[in-house]
Amino acid sequence: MPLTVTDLRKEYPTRGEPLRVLAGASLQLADGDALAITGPSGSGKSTLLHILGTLDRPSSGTVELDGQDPFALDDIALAKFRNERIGFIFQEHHLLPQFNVLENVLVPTLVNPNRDAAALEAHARSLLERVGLAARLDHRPAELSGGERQRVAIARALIQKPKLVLADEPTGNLDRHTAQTIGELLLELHRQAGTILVAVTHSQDLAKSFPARAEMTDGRLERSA
Amino acid sequence: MLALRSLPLRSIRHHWRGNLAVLFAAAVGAAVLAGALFVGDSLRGSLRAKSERQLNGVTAAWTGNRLIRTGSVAMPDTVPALMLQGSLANEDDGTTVPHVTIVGLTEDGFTKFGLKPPTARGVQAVLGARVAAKAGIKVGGKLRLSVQQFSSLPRSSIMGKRNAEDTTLGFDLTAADILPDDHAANDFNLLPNPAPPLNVYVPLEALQRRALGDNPDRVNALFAFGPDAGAVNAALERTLDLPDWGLRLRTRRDPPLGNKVPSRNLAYVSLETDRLLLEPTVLDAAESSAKELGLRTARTTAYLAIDIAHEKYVIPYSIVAAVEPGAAAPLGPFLPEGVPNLADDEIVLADWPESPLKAAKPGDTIRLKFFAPDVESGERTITAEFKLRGFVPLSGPTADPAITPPFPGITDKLDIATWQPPFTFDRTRIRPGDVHDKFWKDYRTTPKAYVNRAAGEKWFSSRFGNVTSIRIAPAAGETPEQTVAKLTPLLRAKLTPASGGLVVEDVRSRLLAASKGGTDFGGLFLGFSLFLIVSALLLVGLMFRLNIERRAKEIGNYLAFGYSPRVVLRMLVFEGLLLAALGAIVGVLAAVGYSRLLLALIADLWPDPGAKSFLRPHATPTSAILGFVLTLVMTGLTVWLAVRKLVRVAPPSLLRGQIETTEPERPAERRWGTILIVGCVVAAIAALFGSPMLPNPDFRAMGFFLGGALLFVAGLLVIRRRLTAPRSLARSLTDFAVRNAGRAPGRSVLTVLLIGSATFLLVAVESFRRKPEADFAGRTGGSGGFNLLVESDVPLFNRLDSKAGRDDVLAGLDLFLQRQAERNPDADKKALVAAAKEKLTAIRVSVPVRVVSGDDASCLNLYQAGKPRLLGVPDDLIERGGFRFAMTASGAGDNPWTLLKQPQPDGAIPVFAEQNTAMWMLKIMVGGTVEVEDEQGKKVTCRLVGTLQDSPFQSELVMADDALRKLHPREEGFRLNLVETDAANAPEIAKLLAAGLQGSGVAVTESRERVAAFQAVVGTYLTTFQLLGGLGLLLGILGLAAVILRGVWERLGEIALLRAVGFAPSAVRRAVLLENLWLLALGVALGLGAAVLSVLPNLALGGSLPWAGVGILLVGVFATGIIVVALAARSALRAPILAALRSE
Ligand SMILES: Nc1ncnc2c1ncn2[C@@H]1O[C@H](COP(=O)(O)OP(=O)(O)O)[C@@H](O)[C@H]1O
Ligand SMILES: [Mg+2]
Repeated sequence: MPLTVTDLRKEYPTRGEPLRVLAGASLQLADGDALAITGPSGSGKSTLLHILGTLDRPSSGTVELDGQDPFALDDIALAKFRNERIGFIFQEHHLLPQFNVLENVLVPTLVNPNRDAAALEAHARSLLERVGLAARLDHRPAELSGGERQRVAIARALIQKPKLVLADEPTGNLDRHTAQTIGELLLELHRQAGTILVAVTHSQDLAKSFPARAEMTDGRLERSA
Repeated sequence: MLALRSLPLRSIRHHWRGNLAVLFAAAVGAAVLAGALFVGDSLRGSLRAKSERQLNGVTAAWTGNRLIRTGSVAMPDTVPALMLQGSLANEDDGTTVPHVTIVGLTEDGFTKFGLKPPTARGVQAVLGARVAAKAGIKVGGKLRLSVQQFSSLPRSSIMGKRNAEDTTLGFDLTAADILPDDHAANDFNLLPNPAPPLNVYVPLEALQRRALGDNPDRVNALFAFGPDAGAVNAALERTLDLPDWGLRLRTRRDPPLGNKVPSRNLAYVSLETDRLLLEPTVLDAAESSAKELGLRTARTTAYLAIDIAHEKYVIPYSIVAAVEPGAAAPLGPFLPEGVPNLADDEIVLADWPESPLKAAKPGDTIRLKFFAPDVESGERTITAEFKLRGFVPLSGPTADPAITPPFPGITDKLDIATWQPPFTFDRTRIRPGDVHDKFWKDYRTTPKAYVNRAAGEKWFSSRFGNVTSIRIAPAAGETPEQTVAKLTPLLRAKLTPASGGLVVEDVRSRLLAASKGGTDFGGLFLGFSLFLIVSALLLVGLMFRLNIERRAKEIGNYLAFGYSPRVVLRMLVFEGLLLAALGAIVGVLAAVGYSRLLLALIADLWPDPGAKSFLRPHATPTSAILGFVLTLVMTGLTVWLAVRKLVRVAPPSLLRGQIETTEPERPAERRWGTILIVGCVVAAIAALFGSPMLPNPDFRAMGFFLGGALLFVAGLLVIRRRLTAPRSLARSLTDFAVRNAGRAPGRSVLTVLLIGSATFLLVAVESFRRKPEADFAGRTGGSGGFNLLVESDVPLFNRLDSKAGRDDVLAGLDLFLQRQAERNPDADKKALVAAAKEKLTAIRVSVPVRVVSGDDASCLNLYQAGKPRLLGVPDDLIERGGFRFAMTASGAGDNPWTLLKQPQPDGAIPVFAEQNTAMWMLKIMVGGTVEVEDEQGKKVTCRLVGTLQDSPFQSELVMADDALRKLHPREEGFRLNLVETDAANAPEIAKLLAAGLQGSGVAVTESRERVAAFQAVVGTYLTTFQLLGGLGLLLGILGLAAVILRGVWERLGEIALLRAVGFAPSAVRRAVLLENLWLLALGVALGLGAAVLSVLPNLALGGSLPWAGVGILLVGVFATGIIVVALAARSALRAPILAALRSE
């Protein structure tokens, strides 16, 4: 399977007993799959996503994307892996205030010195057109609404044509209506790009629009209908 | 187009507000750094300018204590001069100015110095502005000049004159002109010394007539304006002739001739000198010249015997000759018939019909009584016994008055009774017409006794030699005149100027080299500024870190995009470097102004007010670039240290805005922390209680300082621990505030460190400020028990604790009072002199010290002392011992002074130096070596065998007088006298000596004052250091302000909440204020506490602390702190919360 997660465990040291957050979470997804993860707050959803996105290391267990274990890589290779294979969308958009919309989308591409800048810019413009911001390319994040910022974040997550797109409560800060359109946009772009999409959400509406769902309980993932 | 490289630029522009603070801090760092370097530049530049100015265009020069003919060097751009040291008195009111330099110049010389030669008759002087001001003289005024009288005879040989009235010479001058203040000739001085010279210029011929007497056409200096030393030396070598050496090759007897020896012609050539004794170089040259010509030579010594005695019969005042007894005619022989040779203890008498010793038989004991040849420290007679070998007739070689060279005042007198000898002479022993007078009239200076060379060398040698003539036999068939003609060119060729110490020096290069500075001020100020620089860097780090912390999420983001930590770190450091570069440029520009301020400060604080007149700001591109680059490197490093850990924080934490991994302290770490704290405290106690036992006050101060610093570190560790420790419930607003200070412990500790260390330094360095110690006046104190230093322009030959010395003072005083009487006829002169006579007996001990002029090696001299002044101390001072030593070489025993007499295995001369002089100026330690020059300019190695403390001998190297006399045989008499009196009489005696020895240009200083002046230099440095430390404290407070603003900003939500639950804005403000005042108070209390503890032992030892200064400092710190904190709190609370929230 392109994404195989086996028996992930994660503990945090504390003053007392270590805090066990993940206790053997496993997951398998094929190309084009989209999975919505739900679960109560503090159940470890974000932790799982961070590990999938290689931002954090598991205490034990393995992650394989296209047969490769990213945690076996050194720092530099790991960064490159993340840069090329993974796209992130956070609840807080985390746009960089000093850049305009187009630039924000292009930021992840800058680390590659051999990039085809023109092609990437064209790709960014097309992405932004698809998320409906063609007219706002040179606006700064401060001049955008919450929904618009999240659209930029989605475009940014897709700019490197990643294999795996991770979204952590992408609509958590938005009103219901906007949340729905953003959710639809996310799924649509996912389908167009053929990525693997894993999204954490509290929104039942959004979860329902996903082809597959899982719930986080006691540090494990349980597939739900 | 957006590129990776442009990201930092974008960041800088976007976060300009925070970056401005970083930029500011970097600018401060650069300003301090470059400023310190510019101070170094300024010193070097100013000294260079001063050097050029004081040279007046002179490139090479010779000045010496040998007189050569005025026309010896006829070379363009080279002028001869007569330079004299002396004192000048205003005839109107008696104001006396010692240490005046009189320069006699030809007309050409006057022009070269940019002066107009005076034309009126009499000795017309052009006075330097300083001299005129000191003497209070106007143009046309009358001045009396006292200088050392020239004597070709060594004064310390028995034939030299030594009384003050014979050694000094006085004559009147008219002030023809006074130089304008800005004329460079005011500052003419060839030595790199700080004291501003007091110059008087007079026409050469007039000066020569007054100062040189019978033989006026002589000079003792050559100044070249343009040519280098080599060229002038070559010219000297071509033209220097025997008369310049004071030599003559005599072939005739001088009148008056004896009745029984009427012939004027000599059968040999006699080489003689004005100096009476032939120098070793001359001996070598003469003997090797004669050898080349195949001529025989004989060394000859004529000496005066007070008595030649056999049993009760005595011949008074006769000549004894030390000869080669068996020399063939015409140089001898001097042996009775049948006697082949003389043993070292044998004597031969002239067979003189009227001799009182006629009854003596061969084998009888003949007693010879004569003066010890070296009389520098008093006239002494010696009696030696010889065995009579026989008599020689008064004819041929043994009736030769020319064995004795001419000696004015003796050999030119018709009767013995009219002799005017410099030694004690009992006229009553000879009556006109008696046998002795008759011998004198018949045979003049014919010796009455002969001994061999070995006996002569044993008894008649002084450091000036023992040979009064070399007699040379002409070749067969040649006349003495023909021999002279052949000998002269050879002798001239061998007597190079250099062999006589006549070496023209490249004074310009030497002075310019010295102007690089004795102390590297740039380095010194960098040292002083170190704390300030570190503060600025800490501020850079703090500001940058605060700046970046705000952007934690951004960093998390980059990491999430797959930027490797290294790339992110590089971006951040690059951003920091860009800021630093901007800041450094601003800072280097600001440094120009800052260095000017510092320079003004130094000029103001420096104990020698002369510094102000020449210290000018200079700034070299090298220093600017160095300042810029160093700032960049250090800031880069600081920024790297500040953000290095940040990129290692897990991105999810960063994305949450969390910047520190708040893992609890592990028990092992905690234990190590405890051990460290306890260790620091124990070491501190050891240092504080152990240091008072150290004898060296500087080490003591260092011990105290170390102890205090350790306490400070321990305190800081405790504070850090308390700030991070779990706490009980917050019950009051104060608790709340204190708790808040622990929110970001790193930041808080940094603030406490900045403020506390500044406070600590400012107070703790007070221990280093020194005054003469309590026991300074004692024999084992710094003064060695000598409370007065008597320095004179003209050497003194009589000890001030001897009758002769006191008489000199009284004679001078008499003259002084006579002059005063003209102005104030009422004074009772007799009573005054009588009172003075009584007073002078209060001089318990006076030790004469030989001085060889050189560069002032004390820390008051900003120049580098390449050729330090030399002091020679006599054996009685060495035996007396005393003084305070910082360190001595091993083998000192009870009296370290004996080290000066212990020969070094490598032949180096053992010397002492004052410890600061050794450390900072000569840059050697005990056991190290320093090179000095002997009279001929040859390098001689000296080994430092001890360092003196609290010593008045800061400007020089101290060695045993024997050693110094060997190096500089021509340096006669004593220009420094160490005087011990009881403390009560000291001021009176000082006045008496200054007045009585006015003619010798005497200046009397209390040794305590002298030492205090030297210690004031250290005080200047400390004050500067403290001022710079004060600036560091200011930076600490600025850092505190930044921390406050940041803290408030971070807690806008929290503050909003406090307000929402009903706290009034003023209450919130108070909470913020309290929290930060707590940090301020902690810092100051810690720093002050540690400092006071470190200073306490010093206080117990009699040191003092300027409590008022410390108080003002503390009040200042608190006041500034409170104002800054209040302002920061206010502005932060006024920020519109909603806008702040959205402005992300
Ligand atoms: N760095 C950390 N250190 C300690 N505990 C953490 C850390 N990060 C997350 N946690 C804890 O792990 C648990 C799961 O957090 P998270 O994955 O954010 O939950 P969710 O996203 O499901 O709300 C929470 O109890 C949280 O307190
Ligand atoms: Mg979460």
